[in-house]
Amino acid sequence: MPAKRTPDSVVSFKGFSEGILMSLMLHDFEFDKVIRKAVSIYKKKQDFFGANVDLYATGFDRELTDDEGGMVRKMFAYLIQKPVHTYRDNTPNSLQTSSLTQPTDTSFSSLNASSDNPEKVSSFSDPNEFLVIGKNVRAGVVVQSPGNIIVFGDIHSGAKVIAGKSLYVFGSIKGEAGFGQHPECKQAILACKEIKAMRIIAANQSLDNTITTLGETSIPVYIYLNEGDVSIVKITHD
Amino acid sequence: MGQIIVFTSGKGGVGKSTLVANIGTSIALAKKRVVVIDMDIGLRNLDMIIGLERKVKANIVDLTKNLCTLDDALVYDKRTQNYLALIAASQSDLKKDINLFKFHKVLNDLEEIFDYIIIDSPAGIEEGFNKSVFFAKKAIVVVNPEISSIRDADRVLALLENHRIKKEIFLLINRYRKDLSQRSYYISATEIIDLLHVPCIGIISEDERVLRQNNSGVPFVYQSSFSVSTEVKDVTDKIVGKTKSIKRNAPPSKSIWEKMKKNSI
Ligand SMILES: Nc1ncnc2c1ncn2[C@@H]1O[C@H](COP(=O)(O)OP(=O)(O)OP(=O)(O)O)[C@@H](O)[C@H]1O
Ligand SMILES: [Mg+2]
Repeated sequence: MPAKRTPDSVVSFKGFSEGILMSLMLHDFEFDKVIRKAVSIYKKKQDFFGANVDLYATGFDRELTDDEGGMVRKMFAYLIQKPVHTYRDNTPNSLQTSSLTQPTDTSFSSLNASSDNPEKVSSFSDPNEFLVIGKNVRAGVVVQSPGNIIVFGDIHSGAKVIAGKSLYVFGSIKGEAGFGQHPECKQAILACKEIKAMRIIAANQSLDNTITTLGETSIPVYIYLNEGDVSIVKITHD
Repeated sequence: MGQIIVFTSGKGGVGKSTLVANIGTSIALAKKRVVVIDMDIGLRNLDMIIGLERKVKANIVDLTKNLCTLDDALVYDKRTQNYLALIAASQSDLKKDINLFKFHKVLNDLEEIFDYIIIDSPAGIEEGFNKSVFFAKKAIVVVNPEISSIRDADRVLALLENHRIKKEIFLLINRYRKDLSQRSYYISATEIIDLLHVPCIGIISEDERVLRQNNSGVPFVYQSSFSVSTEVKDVTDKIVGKTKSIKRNAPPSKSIWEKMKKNSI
């Protein structure tokens, strides 16, 4: 294992033109702390950045996947409530500017069309897109997207969130969660603050047993799906 | 302009009608004009709990079908010097017999006369529920400390939060046993508020005398020595704006997870 790194050592501010630079190592510590550091730098230097801010995110030990990079930018944009540009030239158009999705995401507020059926959200046909849900997903609500989903809240018991690609939950999973369900998806991540559910589905495999052996965890968990292989990593602080 | 408040729950039998009767009475005793509407079409019972069933001549369905006037349908409660009025449900009609537009018109008329219009919603999340909650600006979700009631409340909250007409939403915990709240199997009020992420407007204890009062047609708030009466009065104070409701006492946000959660509510 490389030397212990802290958010201070991986996030730096390089003046206006370069924006905020951060390198992430996902196994090292919770990367929410890194983003928090980036947000605090942004808040201090807000005047420098003006309307737009550049966020340079690279992996420390490897390149970030498009999903990871997009997720970091999306989280950052959400927190500072501004669009964030990316540095990658080869990024798909949909990720060039991770546009803001406010908590009152229209796709989500149209949920209530009928109260007799479980609500469904299937807003994007582009699997590279991110669906951001700015609140808890309550019982009876079903959210589905062929792309990535970020939930800023809990998935309640009785709720169901199914992502074609990765699923990031900034809260706990008490309901049902699926990721990597898109037929063309080869790699995906499920990241969450804690798992209190027994039903997690990676691609088409149910991880019920794995999660049972993992026990109810109240620490962040990443589940990686790579070409059908599943690995589970608990993120501890030491 | 009156304020439209709906009491709803998803799960049946959690105490909606009991609380509508008592909170309605309590608001009236505070000298505010209030009308309670029983929307449980086919299963009317709010009139019995308040003790006005013998005076009911017409009902909400008659009213929305223009078969009677507003005056015919309003039953005033003398014990509150007529500050409290009731519009009963129909026994013989079905929930679909209420037309939403006509119901809206009735509510508009009531808004001119009353300070508070309290709707007692039926259980479930179907037609009767939909019509009851539709025009309300404030929704009070009644929940018991039971896992099934909490799950149903969560389901109802999803529907209310995403409703076309924006609503201020509160929890009201009923049939609470403080003496059990430390037991491992019991779901404490803090846990309920935490699970449902909604501000709580009050906690009403379990008290077997509630049943006796319901059966006698005298709302329990008239018994000022009951602790449930004090608890109902606290809720009343919050509704009429004397005091604030309990916010979820979230721990100081230590990580970004918490911050984001907060941002997103
Ligand atoms: N705080 C309380 N303590 C003890 N019993 C209570 C309390 N609140 C309500 N009850 C009892 O619970 C039962 C159901 O109450 P109520 O009819 O008000 O529920 P409801 O939610 O209106 O039911 P429904 O969904 O059928 O309309 C009644 O027998 C009532 O006496
Ligand atoms: Mg009832």
